[in-house]
Amino acid sequence: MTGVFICKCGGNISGTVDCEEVRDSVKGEEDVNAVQVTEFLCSKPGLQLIQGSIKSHGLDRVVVACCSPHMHEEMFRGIVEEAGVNRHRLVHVNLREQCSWVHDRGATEKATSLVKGGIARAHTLEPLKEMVVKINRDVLVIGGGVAGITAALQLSKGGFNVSLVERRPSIGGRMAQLSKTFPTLDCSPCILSPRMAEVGNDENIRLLTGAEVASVSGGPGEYHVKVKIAPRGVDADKCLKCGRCGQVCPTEVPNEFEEGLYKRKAAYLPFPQAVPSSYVIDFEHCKRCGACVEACPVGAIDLDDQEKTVTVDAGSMIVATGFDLIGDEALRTYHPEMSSVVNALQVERLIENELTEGKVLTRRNGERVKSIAYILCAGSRDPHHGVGYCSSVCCAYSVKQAILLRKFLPFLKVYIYYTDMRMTGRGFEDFYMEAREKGIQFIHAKPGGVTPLDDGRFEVIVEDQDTGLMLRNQVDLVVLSSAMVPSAGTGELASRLGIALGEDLFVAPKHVKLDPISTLREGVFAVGVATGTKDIHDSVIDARAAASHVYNFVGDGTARLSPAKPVHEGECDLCGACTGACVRGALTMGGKGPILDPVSCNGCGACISACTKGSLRIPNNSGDTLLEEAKGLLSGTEGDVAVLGFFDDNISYTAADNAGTARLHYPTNIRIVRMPSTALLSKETILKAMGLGADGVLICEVEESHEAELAAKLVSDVSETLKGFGIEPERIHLQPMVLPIFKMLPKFVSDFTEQVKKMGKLTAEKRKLLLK
Amino acid sequence: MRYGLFLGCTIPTRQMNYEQSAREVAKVLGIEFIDGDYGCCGFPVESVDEVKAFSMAAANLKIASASGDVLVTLCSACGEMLCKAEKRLCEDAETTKGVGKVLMQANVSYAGEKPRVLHFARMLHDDYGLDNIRAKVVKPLKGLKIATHPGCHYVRPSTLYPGFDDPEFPGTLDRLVEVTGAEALDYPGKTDCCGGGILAVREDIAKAMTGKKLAKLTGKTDAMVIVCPFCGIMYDKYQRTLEEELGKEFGLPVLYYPQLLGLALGIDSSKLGFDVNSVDVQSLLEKAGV
Repeated sequence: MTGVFICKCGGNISGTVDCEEVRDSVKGEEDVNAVQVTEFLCSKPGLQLIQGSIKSHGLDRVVVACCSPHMHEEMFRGIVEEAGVNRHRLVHVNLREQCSWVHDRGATEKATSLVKGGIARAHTLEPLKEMVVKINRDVLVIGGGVAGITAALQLSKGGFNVSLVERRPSIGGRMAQLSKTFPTLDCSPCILSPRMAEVGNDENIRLLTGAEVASVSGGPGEYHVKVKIAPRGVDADKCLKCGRCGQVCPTEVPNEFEEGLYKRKAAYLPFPQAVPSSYVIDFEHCKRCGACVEACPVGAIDLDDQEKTVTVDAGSMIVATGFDLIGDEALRTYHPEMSSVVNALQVERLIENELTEGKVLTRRNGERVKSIAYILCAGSRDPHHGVGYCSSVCCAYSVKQAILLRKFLPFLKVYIYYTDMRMTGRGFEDFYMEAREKGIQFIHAKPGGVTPLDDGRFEVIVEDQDTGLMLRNQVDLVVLSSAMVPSAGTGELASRLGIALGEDLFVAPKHVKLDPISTLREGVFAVGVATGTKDIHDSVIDARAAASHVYNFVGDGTARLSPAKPVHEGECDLCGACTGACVRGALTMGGKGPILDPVSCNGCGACISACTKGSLRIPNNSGDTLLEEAKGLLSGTEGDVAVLGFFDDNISYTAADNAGTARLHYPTNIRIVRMPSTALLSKETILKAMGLGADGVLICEVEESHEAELAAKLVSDVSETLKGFGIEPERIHLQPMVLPIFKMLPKFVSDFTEQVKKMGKLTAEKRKLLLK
Repeated sequence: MRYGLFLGCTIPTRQMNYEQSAREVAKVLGIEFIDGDYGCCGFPVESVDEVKAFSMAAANLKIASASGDVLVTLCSACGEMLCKAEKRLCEDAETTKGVGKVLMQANVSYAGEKPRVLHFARMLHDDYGLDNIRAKVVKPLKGLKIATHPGCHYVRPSTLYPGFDDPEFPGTLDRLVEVTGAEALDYPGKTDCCGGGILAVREDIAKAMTGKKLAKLTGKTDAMVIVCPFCGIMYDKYQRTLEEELGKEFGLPVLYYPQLLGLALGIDSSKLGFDVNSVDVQSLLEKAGV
């Protein structure tokens, strides 16, 4: 007894899809007792409609045809479950992101076949029970800046054990490098170091510094993370910070905390408020002379300290890896290689080191710096040389720095060259007015570059956007308010964690508006600038929100796992093909057959196709289910070529949704089948699908993944067989997908559809061959 | 090595020194230049009538393609125009149709021919090779300080010359100067335009642009090296006029690259067209020891 509910979505679907026509076309399908069309299915009346219909028609299966399942699938599952229908007998058909938003003509016909596919699939569904597993309450926080610190402290107060992994020898991140924060001019290290000290003293927080994530295994609720810890060389508990090691150390290198402006020794204290509060040996530059060992009064130094690897087990993780400033290559025309061209982080260090010591800023030749030009948006909002996005904080911090500079050195002439003044935060606009009143000059123009003059000063020439006049200026110091980019290694970390990046290379959120902290992987959250440029205020909010997410995720220490995991039924000769196929180590061979670790298993299905006896299946996602769904999807495609698209749920299906949200169009010939992973596909299934009416098969899988490798093998296998039947092998195609390039998806689909159109529909004889 | 040679209009009429020195240099380097029945590239017409301008370019492309040779242009603007026409006529069906109509009147039909077109200096840098040039230098011009003026159309728009040089920090001309043994100067404003492009529209601005670079370089360099005849007209032919109008003294010799290279290759200075140079080069030749 199947019920079908079609949503008009307030015009978003009904704008191009005639929902009433779809209803009329599907109401005659087998076992369909009720078909309703409504304006907003997800609204209270819409949900009541579903529940009411379930009761009055005695429904045991439900098909909702509306927006993408990524939006409200969980909610619909909950609603039908409340009304007595097993939550796994809900089919969610995507009529919006993958139909009404990407098609004009032919949208209704396509919608009909999508719904028919959904109905056909619904008929194959078994009522499943979810697995309940224990969740590890421990949390791993990656990154010890203000966001990571805030999250760790919040979680610790909630009674969670936190491991905080920080790449540098001390926590504190970028905020520790700042002098004062906008708009209140709070002393940055003063407000941060009590937090840092708390982290250091907190019993619930295990602090690992000089540490990086090397690999991740397991799954949501039970992650096993290998963390590589670089040798500190100094026993942090013994270190008195007397500084004698640093005094005798012969090696000097640029100081990272000071952004290269000053030097430090190879035996050094990262900065006065460092936590752990201890010196460090920089083994990359240490000459092993041993002078520090001798000088240390408490014998805290061990030059034979080795790298360690520890395993951190955690049920959830928080990524708080922050940012770097964009490299010099993007800023060439501003001559960043010259000593009188600095970036904003360097100015923070100059303020802290020079100005607060009562010194003035000087040029290389010793003369006083009397004039400074700030170049806003250096490298930002600049797709040709830098990054396309706005870095959010530069307008505010440039105003802040200008106010501070003039406070210390009232004779300074400060010119801020701006494109816009984005003073969005609370109190920011007043701050800006204060700067104007204090005589800081704002010039509405962005210079394309600065010209070094013979005397070491710089010439800046712009066209003032307000007056249209050309303005020429000569300054002693140039400050680049340069673009923020995800910190080095974010990409690699993301792939280790199995989370996706956006087009701008920051971590992609689950939903930009409604769920900006969750990533696309269950149990992994991301906060701070790791998910996009923002200030301290917003990073702290993110961190506190993530702690709340962890709390909800962990709950009482148990989790309900999806039952879409392999079930073993039938013969087993212990051949081990399945355990070999699993890259997540979720299958191990027992005495009678394979044993599954449901937490590590992500339901990809690689084991299913590997089993030579066909004894493994994923409930509700077998080859037969797919073929039934295909029959429905392919109905009504006699007139033109039909393409079946098998898309992995996490990345490729999301990319197709993103293309829909962007309203990018592509031909209607394709019917996308949502798969937990394309590793579920077998040659037999694909050949039969073609026999049933598919003229082309497009497989979309995550680029450079194990699943993509399997898909590639599958495609070549199928191609060979097709050739043997005298069918063009080009009818099957593998398209690797990465989320940042979702805009290319319509082109991939169009190109492949064109190719299939040129080859034409398969003849009846060929189809008979394929169905054998 | 053989190349078709595209002279354009300005060089054979007003800057024969570029052509003469280029031919002499080619002889020594073992490069054969094949002349053809080429006409104006269309560059001056582009801002007035795009379709006619591209038609003129297309006619030349057809001739080059028929000869089977790679086409080398001496003038940067000609090079840009021909490369731009190739790109435009394979991407824009509308313009191609218009061009077809125009060419029909001359009984020419352009069928999308795309011969390889490159600037003379690019040919030497990319095809011939710096090492091979250096091997033929017999009189290294040690001690000479040269300021190269890459000009505008030589490297921009960079989409026309993918993979060649750097549109914001061009260096190929400097490398070419260095193989002669001379020193190539880095100076602010290297990428500034000579002003020639707007001479016909705003003569005052054009001359101010030209004068600016001359003022910057006077006394800092022994000569300016250029690769485009319009830059030559601005910096060389007009230098005296500018001195009078701006009340300054420049006295800066302006050489075409093959004139400089020719000296290093041991070619007699009388064959390098110096009689056409407006600004006296005697002091430079003496310093170079020729």
